[in-house]
Amino acid sequence: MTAPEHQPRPDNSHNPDDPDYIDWGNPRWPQEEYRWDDFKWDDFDDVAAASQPDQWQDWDDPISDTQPDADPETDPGGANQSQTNQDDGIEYFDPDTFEANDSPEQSHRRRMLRVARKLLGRIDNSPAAQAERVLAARRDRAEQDILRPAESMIVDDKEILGKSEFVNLQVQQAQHDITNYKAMSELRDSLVTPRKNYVDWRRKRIQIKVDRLQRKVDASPDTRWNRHRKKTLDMFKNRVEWRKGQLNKYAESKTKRAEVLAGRIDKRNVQLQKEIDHVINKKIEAQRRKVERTMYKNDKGHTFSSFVIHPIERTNYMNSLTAAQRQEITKQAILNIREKNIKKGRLDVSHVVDPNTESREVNDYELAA
Amino acid sequence: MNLLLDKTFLESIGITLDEEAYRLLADHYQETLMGRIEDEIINELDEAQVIELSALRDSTDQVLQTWLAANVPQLREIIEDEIVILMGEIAENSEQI
Repeated sequence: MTAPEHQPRPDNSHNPDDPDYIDWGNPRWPQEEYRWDDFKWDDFDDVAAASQPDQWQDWDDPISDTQPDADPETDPGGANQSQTNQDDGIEYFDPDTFEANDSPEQSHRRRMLRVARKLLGRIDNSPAAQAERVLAARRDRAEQDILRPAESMIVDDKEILGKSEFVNLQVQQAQHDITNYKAMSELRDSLVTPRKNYVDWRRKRIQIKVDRLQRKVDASPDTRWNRHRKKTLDMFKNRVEWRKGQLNKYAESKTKRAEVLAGRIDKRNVQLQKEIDHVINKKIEAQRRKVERTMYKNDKGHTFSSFVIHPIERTNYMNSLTAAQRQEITKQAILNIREKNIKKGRLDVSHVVDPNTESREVNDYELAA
Repeated sequence: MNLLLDKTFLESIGITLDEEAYRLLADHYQETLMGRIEDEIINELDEAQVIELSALRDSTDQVLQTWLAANVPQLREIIEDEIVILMGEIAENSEQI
């Protein structure tokens, strides 16, 4: 019996006697279609086969096995519980209970899966933890935004440094090309050497054949076969001569090539280069004198402290002194440094400096200060 | 040391030029050297000496040399160093000449 459509349908869902009653708590709904008598024993054959160890490969899938078991409180009829539901009388696969029948590899995998499940269970998915993770991600992004301009500046500096380094590399490469041009020609000769060795080896090998055949021809009577051997021997000899000629041609061409290369390399002979180096060295000395002259002009007093500012002149000056003079100057420099530091507030007046003990710690840079 | 650039020096550093090229190079050398010596002398002088020197611009070479000898004690070193520097630069660039 059905109610007219224009009238509201009476709610009989809670009456078990009503034909429209639906038992939502029973997963085998509607009940009439899944009576026990309707099942046949053949239906269980697949389940029995699936319970054999060789049918477990689908359940060993690490993706499905790493899914945590359903929580009965939060997921009472959940999909994750289907494999472990024992209410239907079917012995479903359970990794914990079937471990005894596993192979060693399967047993190892199951132990690892249990560890993975425990680790997954430790992840805190509470709203507070999720909010904390979101805030941490925002903080990381904010730090990146702050650091980005500085990183871009660093990149710019690296580009500038890279350019100067590129120029230096170009200069070094040019010097390398100039100074190692002779080495390049030697390298070419060394590349020729293996080929020459191979040709020598082939020539010796053919010569051995020729000698062996010659001995055989000399020892054999004058038969038809021996005459044939003689023809072969002549052919070998001709080949040896031809190879010698080829080798001579090859060596001659390489010699000419080497002479051409040597002519290019020695375009400026050694004596000429010495003369040029001498002129350039004199120029460098003159430039040094010019710098020193400018330095003296700027320093009207020509005092010791200003004199030792220039590193080259300071070193030359110190080297020209005797040990006693050097020690005396060093003591004086220590006292000057002490006075300067006291004036700048870096050193207390009560601090006593003993030049005899600290003179070794004073280097040229401290003298310049 | 000779102030002028001569062919002997050029040949000693591997530079061989014809007459026209040599004349052009010598002129350029002379002009560059004089400019550098003047700059170096002016750098040696203070403000009052520079003004005094500028007043002697129209005087004779003898007067000028006397004044320079009196006011620039390192004149000889300056001239020699500039000559050596310029010749060193020529030697460095001898392959391009």
